[in-house]
Amino acid sequence: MRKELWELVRERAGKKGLLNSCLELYKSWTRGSLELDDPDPPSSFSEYLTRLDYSLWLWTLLFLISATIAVVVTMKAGPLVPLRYVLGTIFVIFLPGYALIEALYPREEELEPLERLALSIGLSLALVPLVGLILNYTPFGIRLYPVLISLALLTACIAFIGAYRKHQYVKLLREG
Amino acid sequence: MKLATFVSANLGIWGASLAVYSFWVLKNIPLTALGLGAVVISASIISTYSESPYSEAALTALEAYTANLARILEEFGASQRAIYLKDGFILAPLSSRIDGNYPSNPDRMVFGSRGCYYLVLEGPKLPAEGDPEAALTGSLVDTLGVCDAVRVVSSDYRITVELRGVRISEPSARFTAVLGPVPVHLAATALAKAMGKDLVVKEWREEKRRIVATIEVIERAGEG
Repeated sequence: MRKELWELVRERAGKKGLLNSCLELYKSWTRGSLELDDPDPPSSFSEYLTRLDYSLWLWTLLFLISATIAVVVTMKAGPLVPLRYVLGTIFVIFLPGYALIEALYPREEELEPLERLALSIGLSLALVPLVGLILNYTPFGIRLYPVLISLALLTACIAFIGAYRKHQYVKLLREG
Repeated sequence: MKLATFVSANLGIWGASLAVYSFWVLKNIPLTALGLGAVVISASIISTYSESPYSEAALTALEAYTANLARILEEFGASQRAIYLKDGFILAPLSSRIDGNYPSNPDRMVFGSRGCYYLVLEGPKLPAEGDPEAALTGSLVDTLGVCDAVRVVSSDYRITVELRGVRISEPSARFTAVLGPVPVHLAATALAKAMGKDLVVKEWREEKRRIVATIEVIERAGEG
């Protein structure tokens, strides 16, 4: 049976309260007994990018890249230096692989979250040395800023490819 | 020359030259490794089939299959959309009225139930395993080679299938009207098996070598 989500929430809210009905529906959705369809999926790539219900992962990734760059450039010493370590670690050993996994496997059902996490770390460890190898033969060399900028650009480019591939599926959903 | 062959040939020549030059002249081991890596990637691309090696034979067999089915459908005057059963059978309705009382394992060519008659056809036994997209890629792209790529999105009752780079020619109008275009017919057969659901091809749209089809899940009587 097809119903609007808000209609379902209201039906249950009378008996169990709004919060409980929302939680119950969320649990049904995670179990797979409730399936949610978007009646109006994005029609263009720009709309896909501006709709946070679709592209939140991309903006989070871009935010983490920007935050890492900001932290590396501004915080050379002080009490917030541990933040630089945390963001730097995520930036090097997770984000490049995560972006690549999103580009290679754009559908959510292709990989479990744990597989996605493990493959992201593994692929990051494979990608980053390649960037280093290429940088080694450029005039910039393997220094902090060239590594920071090239990894940021690489991750962002792959993430946009991933977003485009995901958008292709959303477009198909709209065509159907 | 195909783009993949051109790219891999260039990569191979460039990689081999780099490996030889960096090993003998530059005495640089990382660059030698990079060159060898390029040669390995080039060899992998060249040795990977871009389409199924049995594609030509499969397409020839499929053309005969579709021609025979088209004759049978013409003979019986079937005109309504067929129902793809999860058991691998295809039911082409012969009467105007249809109910949800489909046979599980029909052993006759024409099956009748409460005034509803169906022509019973057996679909191709495709290796349909895994999620819908993996099942279609395995059967349509890798095994039969009827198209280059498949994309599938599905909700609980509707599946949208995009087939790109379709290679097979159109059969008769009767075949298309009842079973859909050949790649869609094959996709519906494989999907019914992979999803374990009865399906009907609702509509399709063809643009050059691309087909977008909407397939819907139907429920048997007593299962709803």
